Amino acid sequence: MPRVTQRSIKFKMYFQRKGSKEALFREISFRLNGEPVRVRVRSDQRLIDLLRDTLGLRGTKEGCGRGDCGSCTVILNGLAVTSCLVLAATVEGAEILTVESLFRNGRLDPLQEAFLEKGAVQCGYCTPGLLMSAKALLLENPHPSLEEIKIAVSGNLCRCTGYKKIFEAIQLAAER
Amino acid sequence: MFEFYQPSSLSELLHLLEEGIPDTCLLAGGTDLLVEYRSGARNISRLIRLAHLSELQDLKCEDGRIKLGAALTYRTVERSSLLREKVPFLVQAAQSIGSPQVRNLGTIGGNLVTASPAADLAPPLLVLEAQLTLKKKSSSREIPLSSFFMGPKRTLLDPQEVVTEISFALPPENCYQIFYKLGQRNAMAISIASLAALGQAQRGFLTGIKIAVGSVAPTPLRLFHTEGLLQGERLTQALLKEANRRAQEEISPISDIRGSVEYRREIVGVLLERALSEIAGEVL
Ligand SMILES: Cc1cc2nc3c(=O)[nH]c(=O)nc-3n(C[C@H](O)[C@H](O)[C@H](O)COP(=O)(O)OP(=O)(O)OC[C@H]3O[C@@H](n4cnc5c(N)ncnc54)[C@H](O)[C@@H]3O)c2cc1C
Ligand code: FES
Ligand code: FES
Repeated sequence: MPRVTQRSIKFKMYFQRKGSKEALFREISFRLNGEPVRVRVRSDQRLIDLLRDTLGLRGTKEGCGRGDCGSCTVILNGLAVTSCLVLAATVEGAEILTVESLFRNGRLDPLQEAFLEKGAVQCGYCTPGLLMSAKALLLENPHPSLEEIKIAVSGNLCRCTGYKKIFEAIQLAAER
Repeated sequence: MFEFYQPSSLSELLHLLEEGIPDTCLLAGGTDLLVEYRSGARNISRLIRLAHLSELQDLKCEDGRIKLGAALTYRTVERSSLLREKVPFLVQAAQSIGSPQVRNLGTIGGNLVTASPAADLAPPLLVLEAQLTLKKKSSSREIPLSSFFMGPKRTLLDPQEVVTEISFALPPENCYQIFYKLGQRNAMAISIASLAALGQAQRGFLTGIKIAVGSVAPTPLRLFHTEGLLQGERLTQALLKEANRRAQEEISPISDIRGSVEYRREIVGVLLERALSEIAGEVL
């Protein structure tokens, strides 16, 4: 655990330096799944940590932690982003949607229905990220072509299902 | 942990940089920086965000030059009708990067300052002879992109400087614009080799030929000597062979997980031939 030690030493150093404390933590406000949120974040906290650990929304999954797999995808101001590459402190004033936003008033989103119907889920670890990439696409372009669907989910890896059923599910949701 | 600042203007950002705290870093899209920081490869004591600054979001054509703010995301580049019309190969390069999620975050400035040999926007911007505007609190300078890269992850940028703008003259109307990227698959692939070219053939003679390559040298590279050989000539089989030989002297690829030296050399020859035949229309 050398890295942890190194960080805690640095941490002390900053507190000794005058006036920098406000820059290590910051109070931010944003909208999460339609509700206003106000929370204190550490400067190096990522959006995925804020969502899962601080706010308890565990639908968003962490896979690689470096932008490669897409399982941590959420919608930030209308755009799909990997929440492992976003610092929590930067989402001040933003509008964020996570997979939890899809289940509304006791009903699944048409995308979720279509994933179930087409059997586009096996272990399900990639599913929240895929759903949010697909949701971002449909919000912007309600009638995408197959090619546009493929591009929209090109940053989401699935190790079990194979992509064909996933494409079909998104097509089906778009048709409805 | 580090100090985090989100300045409200460029001058506030320049002021924070000027304080000269060691290990100060600028944060644009974070797609490179945050990965490095978490892997332990990068110390950060003060992080200053620039992605949100309106001064760095320009996208306009003025007096025959296109001016791009350094914080424009790949997504904005991809969707700009001006860029689609005037420099489709730059748009193509932006579309080839990572995933939609990465393109929604990553910026042009970040792509260049990262100074990866594989930075996909570099070859097209090199053949467009792009100029970078670098600013610090007390001064500002313009330098050509071709002298900006010093080595892998090294640039001419001072620690107290920020890249504010990337600009280039519109390429001639009837000029071919070519961007090829060879990766291991279509999506989410870092290039094994890439090539951008500009040029045209007038009555069979090549003119205005400019060529740059990526991932086959310590930095993205303009092939000045190869261009010199081709300028004003007819494209024959013999000239193609000679051009490839010249290009092989200019590049210095390495072997890595994506490809070997031999494969990269071979591929540069293939991409070069493809680009030149497209520009010339036929090989005599
Ligand atoms: C999954 C994944 C796939 C990728 N695929 C590709 C690909 O196919 N092709 C490709 O070329 N790259 C790729 N990349 C690499 C990366 O996205 C790019 O290098 C990216 O452009 C960095 O931009 P950014 O805005 O995110 O920069 P950041 O990570 O924010 O910054 C990178 C560096 O540049 C500095 N910097 C940024 N902007 C400025 C500025 N205006 N002035 C001074 N310094 C500045 C920062 O301080 C930092 O040192 C990929 C990355 C990921 C995570
Ligand atoms: S966990 Fe974020 S992309 Fe893999
Ligand atoms: S269902 Fe298991 S990774 Fe996609």
